[in-house]
Amino acid sequence: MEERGESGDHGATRISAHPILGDLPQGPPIEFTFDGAVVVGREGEPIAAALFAAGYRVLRTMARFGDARGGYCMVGRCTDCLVVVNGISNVPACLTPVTAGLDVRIQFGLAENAPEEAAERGT
Amino acid sequence: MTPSVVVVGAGPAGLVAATEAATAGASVTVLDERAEPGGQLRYRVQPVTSGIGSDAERPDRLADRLLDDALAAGVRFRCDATVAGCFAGLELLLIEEGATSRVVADSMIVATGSTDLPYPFAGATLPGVFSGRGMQILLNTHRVRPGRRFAIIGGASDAEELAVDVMLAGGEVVWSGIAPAPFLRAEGADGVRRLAVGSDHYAVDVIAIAVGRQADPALATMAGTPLAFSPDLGGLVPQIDDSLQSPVRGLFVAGDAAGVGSVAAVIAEGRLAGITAAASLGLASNEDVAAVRAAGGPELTWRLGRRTTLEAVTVQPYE
Repeated sequence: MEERGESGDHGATRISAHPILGDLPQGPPIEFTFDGAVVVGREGEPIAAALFAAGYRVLRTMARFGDARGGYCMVGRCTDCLVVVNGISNVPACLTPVTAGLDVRIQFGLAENAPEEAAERGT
Repeated sequence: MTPSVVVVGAGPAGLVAATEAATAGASVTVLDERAEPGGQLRYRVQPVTSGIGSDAERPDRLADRLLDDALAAGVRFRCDATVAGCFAGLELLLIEEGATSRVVADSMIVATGSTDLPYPFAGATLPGVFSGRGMQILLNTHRVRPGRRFAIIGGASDAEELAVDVMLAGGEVVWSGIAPAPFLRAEGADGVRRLAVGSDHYAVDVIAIAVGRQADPALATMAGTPLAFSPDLGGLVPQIDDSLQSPVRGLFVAGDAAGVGSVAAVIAEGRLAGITAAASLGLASNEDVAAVRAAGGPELTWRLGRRTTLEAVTVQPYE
């Protein structure tokens, strides 16, 4: 996948200065990983915001054709941003806050890469 | 016992409805799925006119003001609380931190706002294509710009507002407009790289779909309120009367959930729903309701007028 693991050239960024909202307040960095790579988030922000700011675009792939999805509604309705978090699948990245040490992974299809749930199913 | 009112949705309509009902003497609880009350006012940045106070003001400051009024009136809030359903007798199923509970009140005001209209076209599922409101949340709430060059699909006020928001965030609006869906195609391997509009191609990183909004009255519908079609009010809307009362006893709908409108209109309507709910519980007089209605302004009068001619649409059940 062309976007994975790199900030890419599409100009994703945090909006550090804003004419109406002012400067982005400083806060303690929250480190977590996305497919093993360290990502630095801001306290209180959802996983998806931190990933988009870091330049990632693909958050999941679809089960049938494997096509990529990367978040759409940002309010927990559309299921385009479901990721695997600490081994649990179908976690909405747009609503779930970043916390230090989270293990976030792209959700492939029906999340065969969610180890804790596989263990529960006994597969 | 003090009659109780539950308000679903802590946007502008829900906040003023709660304040009005609480001031009249009801015991009022507001439920909202977000962490912070304010609804649309929390992710919009350009000044809005509220109809209360003379000047346009920053949406977040208006939200703070409406919230302060509600708290001063004794309204209680349960945030991070998702209403997942409504059953007979206005019994609500609530999800908080993964645990479910039920909420029952004498009266319910549905103020659940609106959702973005979809606009499907080829490539619209690519990463980098967002809903207009989702983009506002990313830019203005989370302070993240997911790319530099934007295309905005839409030809009315929502698209115009978003274009300005993008520019305020340092982004570049490469193309904005509306074209029939078959003429639009988003292209790229694992994320948007280009937008084709007919035979023209634009290099873009992000595409936002801001073709308009539709009322989200799902909760009122679940409780048994019929739907009606009104182009004036933005499509399918709950069939409530010109006092905002549903045929379902004790149920009221206000704000964008009743039909998409301006912030000033949804605030005026929220106030009317709050006082009407209070009156239905014996806490306010018909004169009180008439006074609030008269103070609502021309847009409220127009909106309520549209409600007198609504005809229910029949939804065929699945065979």
